[in-house]
Amino acid sequence: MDNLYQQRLNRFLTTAAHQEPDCVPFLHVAETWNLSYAGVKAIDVENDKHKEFEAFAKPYEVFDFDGISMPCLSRDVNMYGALGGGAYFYSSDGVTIQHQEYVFMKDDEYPKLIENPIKFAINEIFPRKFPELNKPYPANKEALKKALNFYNSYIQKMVKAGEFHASKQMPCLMGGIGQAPFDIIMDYFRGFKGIMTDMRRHKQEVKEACEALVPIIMASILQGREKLDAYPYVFFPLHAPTFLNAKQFETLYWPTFREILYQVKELGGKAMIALEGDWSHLYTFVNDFPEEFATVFIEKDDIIKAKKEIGDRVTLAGGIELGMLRSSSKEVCVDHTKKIIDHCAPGGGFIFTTDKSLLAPGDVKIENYLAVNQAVHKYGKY
Amino acid sequence: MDENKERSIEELFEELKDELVFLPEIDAVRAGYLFGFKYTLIQ
Repeated sequence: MDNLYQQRLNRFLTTAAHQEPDCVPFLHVAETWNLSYAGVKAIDVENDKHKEFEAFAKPYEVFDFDGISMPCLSRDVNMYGALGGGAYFYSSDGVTIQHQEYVFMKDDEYPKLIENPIKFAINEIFPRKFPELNKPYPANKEALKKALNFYNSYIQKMVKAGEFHASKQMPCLMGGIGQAPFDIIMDYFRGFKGIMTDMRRHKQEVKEACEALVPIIMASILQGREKLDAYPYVFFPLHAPTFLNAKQFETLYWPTFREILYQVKELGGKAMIALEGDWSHLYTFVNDFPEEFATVFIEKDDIIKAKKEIGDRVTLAGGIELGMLRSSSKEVCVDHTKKIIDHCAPGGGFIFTTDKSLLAPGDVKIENYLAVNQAVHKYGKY
Repeated sequence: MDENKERSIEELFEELKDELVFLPEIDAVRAGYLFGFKYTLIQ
């Protein structure tokens, strides 16, 4: 690996060790925005991985990132489409990939989920979710085989994408996905409304279902390996906590999520955790994350306050809202960037990035994003 | 298995496991790969 790649990577590894690198690292968190920046749509690259990779690298011609979160599109719409359904689809203009919530599980089905989550999903949920699987044999098998072929291509794409960006001297920080059991139940089985009711009416069953999902989630993180690497990180996007009070979080969400975090740590891995929404009421639990383990994305919290309250335990990633980059002047954005660096950079444990992933073409004003990128490297020198 | 007999979805996955010719003929390896596929479809 060339020096530039290692120099960039070292900035992240050093700051994650709560030491000061040569300058504050700038992490580019984006998916379909990259495609728009390169002048193509998500739908244009569905059968052309080379075009997708090149589009994801297009910003490198102008911007000076130290790393990226995602090397390519993280969802393959065609895989779900081959089965006649799924929650992911292209927007009507073909520019972005969208997600719609579906609820495929009823509230009296917890015992089956608890007994064997995978068997329940295959036998009960898949026929409701994927119409093609209800066709007579062998048409249902052909549909499944088609979806499997898309999955094979997707796995190969993810591997090649990482290699492609490394060849461009760009580290990609995320190397796998993990989830919290409570979020799995909410996102893929019961939906937001369902889980919010179940927390009250089926509390014990929700707890037991979370416990049943722990080995499944660990198997998905390990992917057949016995140990995990400390880098790249396992990425955990966390959805429900911003909607839970501290007591609900402590009772239902935290026990099994904590178990997963500590298992990942025990196996040698480290994590990037998206604290989606506002987590300021849950800092007690963040301060119980494994030591020297997690980098957390800050979305709605006051990052200066977060630096004081959780900054010794975890590395913070954040600093500027997409709304400011979209609507404010360049001067306002740069002044804000300097203020955030003043408060968050000392002692390391800080990565500058946006509060959300860049998806739509208008998510940021290009000149603002570029000015902030330059300011981080100029003003963020240690 | 009877060519005309309807299969459960679990049986469809079992049949696919035998057709993963790009993987070694080791049951655990093929089952592990299919687990990843099943887990992705849950999402």
